[in-house]
Amino acid sequence: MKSLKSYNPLSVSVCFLSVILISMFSLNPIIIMLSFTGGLILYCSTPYCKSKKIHISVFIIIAGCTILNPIFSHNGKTPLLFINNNAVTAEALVYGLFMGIMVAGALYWFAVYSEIMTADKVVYSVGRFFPKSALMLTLALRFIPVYIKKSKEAIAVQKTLGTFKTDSIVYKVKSVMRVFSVMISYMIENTIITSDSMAARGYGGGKRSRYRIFSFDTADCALTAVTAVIGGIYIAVSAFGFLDYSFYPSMKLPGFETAAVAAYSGYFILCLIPTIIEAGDKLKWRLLKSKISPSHTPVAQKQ
Amino acid sequence: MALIEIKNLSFSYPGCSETIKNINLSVEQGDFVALFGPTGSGKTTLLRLLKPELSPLGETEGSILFGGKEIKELSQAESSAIGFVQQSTEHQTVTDKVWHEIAFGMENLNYSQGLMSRRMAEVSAYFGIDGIFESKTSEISGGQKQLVALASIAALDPEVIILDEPTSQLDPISANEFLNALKKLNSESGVTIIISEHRLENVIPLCSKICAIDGGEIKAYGPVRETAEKLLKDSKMLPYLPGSARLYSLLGGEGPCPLSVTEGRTYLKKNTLPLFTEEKASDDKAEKEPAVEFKKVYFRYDKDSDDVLRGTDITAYKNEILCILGANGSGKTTMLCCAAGLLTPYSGKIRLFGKDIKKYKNSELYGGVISYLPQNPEILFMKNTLREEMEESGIDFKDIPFDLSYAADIHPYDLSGGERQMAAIAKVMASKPEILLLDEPTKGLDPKAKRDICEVLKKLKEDGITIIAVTHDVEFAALCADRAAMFFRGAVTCTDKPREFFSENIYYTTSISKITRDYAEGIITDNDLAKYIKPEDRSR
Repeated sequence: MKSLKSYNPLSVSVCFLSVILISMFSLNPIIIMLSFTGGLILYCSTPYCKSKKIHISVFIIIAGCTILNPIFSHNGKTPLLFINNNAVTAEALVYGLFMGIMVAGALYWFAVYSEIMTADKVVYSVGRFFPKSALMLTLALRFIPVYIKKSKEAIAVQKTLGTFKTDSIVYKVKSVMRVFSVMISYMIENTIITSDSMAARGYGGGKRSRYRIFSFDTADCALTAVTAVIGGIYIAVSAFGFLDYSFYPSMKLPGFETAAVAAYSGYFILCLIPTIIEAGDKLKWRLLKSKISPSHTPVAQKQ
Repeated sequence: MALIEIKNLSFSYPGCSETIKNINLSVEQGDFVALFGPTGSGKTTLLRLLKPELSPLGETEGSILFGGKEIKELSQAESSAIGFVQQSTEHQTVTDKVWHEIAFGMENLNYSQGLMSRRMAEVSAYFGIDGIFESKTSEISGGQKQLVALASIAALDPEVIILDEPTSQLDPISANEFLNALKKLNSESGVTIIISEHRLENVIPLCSKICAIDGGEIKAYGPVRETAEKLLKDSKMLPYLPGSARLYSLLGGEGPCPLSVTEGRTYLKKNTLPLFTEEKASDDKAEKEPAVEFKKVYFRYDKDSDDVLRGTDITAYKNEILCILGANGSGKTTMLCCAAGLLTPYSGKIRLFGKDIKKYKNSELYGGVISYLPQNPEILFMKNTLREEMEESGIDFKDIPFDLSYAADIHPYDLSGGERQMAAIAKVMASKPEILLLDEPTKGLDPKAKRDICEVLKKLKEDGITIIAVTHDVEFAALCADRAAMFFRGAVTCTDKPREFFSENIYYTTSISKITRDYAEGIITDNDLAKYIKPEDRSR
């Protein structure tokens, strides 16, 4: 078992994006709940996400959607009350609630996903399909921090020259334009050095290869395969209409045919896979730690 | 057959006179050649002509053969045997991650994954950069960047590496580390090295040949000692040679010319020195008025980060040049920014002329009290010519203490390092400040430009201006400081007159001082040396 961070970004992306996309395109309340539950469990159990603030946003989103949807949508058969002669229906209320849960669930998933997908992993994934764009992205990722740092320096210098004034909005705009113009010359001049450096290392000569810093191993194959199988089942079941659901005009229970139950359980397993991977990794280390005692370390033996 | 054979090479940029004049040069496999000469002598042009992808546009005559083949006709793969490292640490970096930077060249040449992995492992271990393998290139130091640049070229298995002033942007410690990596490549793997440098002190011990170039012509070329001895008589080239060679030249020169501190000391031991011990100059006890005072100043960049300034206590007196020396990351630049009012310490007091810096209004502070010149002054410039730049600041070329009028119509970025520094000084002096703060004013400059800057600073001091300069350059500090201070871990550890400062320092001092310290007291610069040697001794 290895942690999600050491999986190949492609296999992780396939898994996460499948979960998120399925929940986003499904109106089925069970799928939405499963995605939300899976996301919540993953978020709370992974070591990457420490911030508790996200739960507040989640609450606001769910509450907001639940309240706002009935105000704008008056579909549905069961009026609860009338405001300005417009019906507030139970269907619209529940629809809003589930939409909120769907967005909130996606938020948890994306929060963990963005922790795992660092910039270089994004570049790697993009480069798999668009090598040229990925290279541009790499250049930009280097260039931006350098440029920001230099701009700060330029502002400091212009301040001491007395040409960076923030007394009024007119001065401020003028001063910022000034620094901007300084930075443009700086950028143009120095890009020549960068392009020389690229040319000196053979860029533009012909076919390029791409160094892959992330390997695609058995675990990645397994993750991708499981995702593909479950996704395939979901799509098949959904194509036959077993998972169709509509809140309007009136709510009913979602389908519970064998095929639907298979799709639900499959999707739930998919939602739990990232958590299982992480838990497995943690467990492995706990087991290893109990084995590593001072007398067993090779260094201790040598001495 | 020589690896690189240059025959009757002349080159001129469009519409200009010849930059390279009829050069003949041959470099053997495994040579370590140092190229030196004044700024504008054609070093960079010559080096660039040796790398087909970087050849400047212009008229070329004569031929350059690489392994017997005309250099213009090399295929891409053949040309990858010639590596090129530039001066700018920041801008020759292409990608955002160190591993990708190393892989970049190999990717361009369509190496396979397996070969790339192997080479990357090799060069990272070889240059000791495996620790930063996954770091962002924007977060590593200048020295590390330059090592990464070297590693990325070494990964392409080059036969020759050409380096254009690779250490000029580095502090002395990183510069030495870089040169050692080069030496390793040269001696262990037989890679031919051609390097241009302003300061040969640390390069000469590594070289097999040196080449002096001036005005596009080769003044001397050949094995190190022989060539150095030839150049001793050339007053223009002498300042480039190591301190021991300059001392040897002053003493009239008998026997082989010493080229390192150790050789210099041995030379002095053999030749009884006509040096005097100087009577110490009496301290002028006159009350001096403080211009900039730091009282127990503490500063950190973030709430959670470590202190950068830890109780800095220092006073710069009115009308003096104070040089602050110290290692990278010791907080020198931060201290300067605090003095300039750009950063505000969280504890302690900074006073300018007895008044708390917080009590100055910005317009008052920057309108005649203080000026600050950062490293790499190009971010000061925004106009198309120097003339416009000067007009914008309301400066007449006649009013500045040095002549720049000949360069008035040049783009500020096209000025030489020295001229650019001069122009920057003129620009920050436009507000007629009483205090001038300088960050590394001599970085990347040739010896002549350094001396010019020194003269200018002294002239400004005579006009009553207080100057604080942060620098790595011990020779510069020895030459122009009234007092020198050592900065260490965010505080000043000692402040002294340069003579005492550099004669008491053992490691952080000038090479002249290192050579002469056992024979005479207080000799730290060439000027001291010249003063203490009697004219009749000199002729011996």
